Amino acid sequence: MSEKPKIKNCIRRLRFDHGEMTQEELAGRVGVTRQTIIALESGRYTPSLLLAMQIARVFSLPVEGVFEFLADSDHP
Amino acid sequence: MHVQEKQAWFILVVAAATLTLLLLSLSIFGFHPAVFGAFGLFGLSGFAALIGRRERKAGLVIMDERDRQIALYATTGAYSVFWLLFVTTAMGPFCVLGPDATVTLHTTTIANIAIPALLVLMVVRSLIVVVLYRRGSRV
Repeated sequence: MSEKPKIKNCIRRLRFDHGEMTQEELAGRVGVTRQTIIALESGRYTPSLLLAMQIARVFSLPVEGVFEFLADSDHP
Repeated sequence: MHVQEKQAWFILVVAAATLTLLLLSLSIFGFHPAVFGAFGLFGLSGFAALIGRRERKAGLVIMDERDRQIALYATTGAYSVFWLLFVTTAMGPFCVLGPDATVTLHTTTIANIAIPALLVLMVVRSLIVVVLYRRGSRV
């Protein structure tokens, strides 16, 4: 059975690149809890499209600049 | 720790205390209907709603999309378990004793079925909440 496709992100690196933004600050700017940002950075949570776009907007990047889609190897 | 997770742990602790009190009462007084009054301790689980008041007053985000997703999974899982127990309890006597049987029940029997059912529902929900917060809730 093939695994579910995963989404990788570089939120942690982007936070540090943007004036060492804290998790709490990022959470406040996108309207989620700090625990959700922690879960996002550790890969334990896949955000909704809306949240992904809000996060990308904070860093002035397209969604693909923040999140990377890792397709399953069984799919062409 | 998130507010919803704190509430779940609180309910689990109250449920554990309730079951402990019930078992102690049963061991001391035997199988007497009044012993099941120990379930009244589970009423303390209502205070779980007070957890998060401070954050709410401060205007902080209490429930975001991840929390709503976890709440949905937990409620669905708890309802599934509850439904299995409910059907078993409803159909069990019918299947075992037959459709023409009559049973005399103590007046506390209804409460002694309903309250544990609620306890099971809330405990299962809380367990799922705790597991999903610890493990992650990938869709």
